[in-house]
Amino acid sequence: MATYDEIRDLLARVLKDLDAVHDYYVYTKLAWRTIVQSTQVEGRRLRYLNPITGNEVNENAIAALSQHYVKNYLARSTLEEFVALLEEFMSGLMRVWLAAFPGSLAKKEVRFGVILSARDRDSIIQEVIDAEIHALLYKKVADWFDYLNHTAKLGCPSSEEVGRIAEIKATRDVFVHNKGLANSVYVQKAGQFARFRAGDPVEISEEYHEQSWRLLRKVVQDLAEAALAKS
Amino acid sequence: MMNTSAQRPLVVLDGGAAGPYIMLPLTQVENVRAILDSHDVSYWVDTWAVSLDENPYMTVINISAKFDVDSIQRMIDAANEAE
Repeated sequence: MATYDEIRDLLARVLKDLDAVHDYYVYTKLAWRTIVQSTQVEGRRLRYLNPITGNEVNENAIAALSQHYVKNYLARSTLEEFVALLEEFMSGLMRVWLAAFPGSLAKKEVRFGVILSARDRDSIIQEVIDAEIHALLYKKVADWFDYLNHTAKLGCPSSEEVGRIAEIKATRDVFVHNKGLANSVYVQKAGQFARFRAGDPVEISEEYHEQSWRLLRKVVQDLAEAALAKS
Repeated sequence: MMNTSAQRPLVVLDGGAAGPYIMLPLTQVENVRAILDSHDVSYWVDTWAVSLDENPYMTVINISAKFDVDSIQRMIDAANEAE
């Protein structure tokens, strides 16, 4: 029963956080649009001062900056947060599952130092699980789901959904590691779902942003419900 | 073309490296889309809209950074003159 409750709580928390990030995206975007409407359409004057950098902008500069903030910074930072929440969910689900069914880790080796410093058997198991999940999250997205399917046999997500998630993760990686330019790593990770060729600037349209959020939310929900049905 | 909400000409705004954009009433989106489509301009329209002081809802057309403000403004103005 503890497993069931833990998975249910994990699902509720991650869905709530995904919704909160999307709300942040929409409300922040609309806040910027409100400022632009107020200044560029209705003619109000506005100045912002940042004493830390010493930069000062007027309503025209703000109109230019706001589009950059919304179209680039805001879209990419919230997409990164979507991926981080998927990782949090995946590691949380695997942690709960492996703790409940540690038999799949039977062949793992444990350093003697871990045994010596362990309080009890459970803390040794926890150490092995932590190492397993840590190593797994550095692997390809497809490997995450292969591992979960091999371990828990949840029967989801579909191979197409896994491919699309791999592309979303590859898009995130391009912004974090390659200044927003697609490269051969992106093309390889995204596979048949690649949206750009190597060298192209990667864009996050509103439609793509929304579809990514919907997909990750669906996959989180599907996985949790399949795990709940088995726990 | 006029911004029918503000009764001012529709202005293409400069988004710097993020590309040009147009803030306009929801009711004018289809007309502007037709102009952009006829010139093969890449764009997308915001899903959400803002209403200030009970005025009509305004939204934004985001234009690809491949296009510059002036060329888009000329397209809009030319449509305005043709009206």
